[in-house]
Amino acid sequence: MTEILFEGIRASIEPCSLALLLPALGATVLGRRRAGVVAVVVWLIAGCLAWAQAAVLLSIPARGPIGAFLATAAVTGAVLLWRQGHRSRAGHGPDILSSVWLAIAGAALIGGAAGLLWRPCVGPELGTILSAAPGQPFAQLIPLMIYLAGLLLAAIAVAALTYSSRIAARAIMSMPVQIGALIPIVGLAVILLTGRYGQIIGALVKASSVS
Amino acid sequence: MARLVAAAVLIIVVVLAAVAFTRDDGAASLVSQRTATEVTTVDRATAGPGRVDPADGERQAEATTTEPPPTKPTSADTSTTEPTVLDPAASGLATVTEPPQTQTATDEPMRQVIANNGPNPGLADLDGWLQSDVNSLAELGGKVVVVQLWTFGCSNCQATLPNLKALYAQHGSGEGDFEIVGVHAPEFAYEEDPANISAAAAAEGVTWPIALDTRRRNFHDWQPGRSGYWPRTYVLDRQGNIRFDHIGEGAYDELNQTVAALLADPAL
Repeated sequence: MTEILFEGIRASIEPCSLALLLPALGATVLGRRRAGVVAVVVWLIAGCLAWAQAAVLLSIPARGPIGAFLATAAVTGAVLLWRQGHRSRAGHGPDILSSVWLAIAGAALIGGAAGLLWRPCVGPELGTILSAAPGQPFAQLIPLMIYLAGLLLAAIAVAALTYSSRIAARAIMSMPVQIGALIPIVGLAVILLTGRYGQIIGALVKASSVS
Repeated sequence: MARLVAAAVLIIVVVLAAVAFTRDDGAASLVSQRTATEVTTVDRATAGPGRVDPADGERQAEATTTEPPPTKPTSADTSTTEPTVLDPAASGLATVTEPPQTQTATDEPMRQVIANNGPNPGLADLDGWLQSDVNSLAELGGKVVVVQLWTFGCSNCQATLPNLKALYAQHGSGEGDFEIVGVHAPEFAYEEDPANISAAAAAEGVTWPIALDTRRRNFHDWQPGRSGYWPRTYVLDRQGNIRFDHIGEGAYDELNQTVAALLADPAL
């Protein structure tokens, strides 16, 4: 299991992980005081959808009308996260429960959209999981979730940073960072809407010289 | 309290990341060290249990009905997901995955049974070929063919190349009964340019034919369902039937053994 986790961590710097990792990071930052909840929900939803597709229990093409629907979901998720964050900050009679549910809903929408778009590059551990998933779907659920926990470790780190340091929390909650966090989610929506995954992520890969 | 927990989580995350990125990547090092002749040792971490496990359940069902029955009983937990059964004498894997041998009472030689997942979907509507005199898989009929769906920018695809290169060299570099066809299905726009593909192939030492599947039609035809994965490696027998299917890196020993078995025994 540790090998699976480590492979997931190593995969997080691969170009093919950007479509999942960047929106997850954006959502976590937008989660502000609910960053931990957001990171966990994104992980759970994206993992479950990726697993269902690997197991051929679900086949949803993230393009065309469905892509447009998922793009809308991603943007809605960002709006919900933004709203819950600013409700908390504004402090007008914060309804904690409502804020948590907004965070969960927003994270689920973004995690779902990103999870359906994600196209993994497959190392040995993930290869074993994916090869076995159609035949043994339930046996591969936990390994795949562990892999994704590794891949999304950066989001967990951001969430932990939010809670562990006032300075870091203040920086993460600053307006420029919050607006910056919207960019990958808007990018996700644009990719889903236009179907130009290869061009947009490819340009990002080229620009960042990740590969 | 929450701050302490968060700090602890942060430390754990940093440690995990440090270990993941600094430890020896077993997969990469194994790939670089292995040659196609090293088929007697199996690394469970890279070989894994996933060998012939097509996404298409119908195809798998067909395989189980068309194959001759194995001469040995198979355990319930492996028979459904590990249809490829290779000569136990040739691999340490067999001693791990196979049940106790009960047929020793007879003196029959151990039969090799390699799952048959039916005919390959073929390569249609390609965008051309590189490094090739052939224009279709059908022209390679009579040969054992490894078909790999790959794209040059994918690091996991690159990691499989040392084993493929060794396998290619071992079995005649396309001159004999063995061929490799790389079906290049780009993930990103910059991977679509044939000039970039040629340059990458030269840099990586890929000398086998490359089928250009720029619009990824074949990539999806070969991988039923929504998901398509890079890399995915198949072995076709002389009749064009799929006898090996693996997603991602790893399973090099099974791949090499399947090729060797199919080349050694044309009746398989």
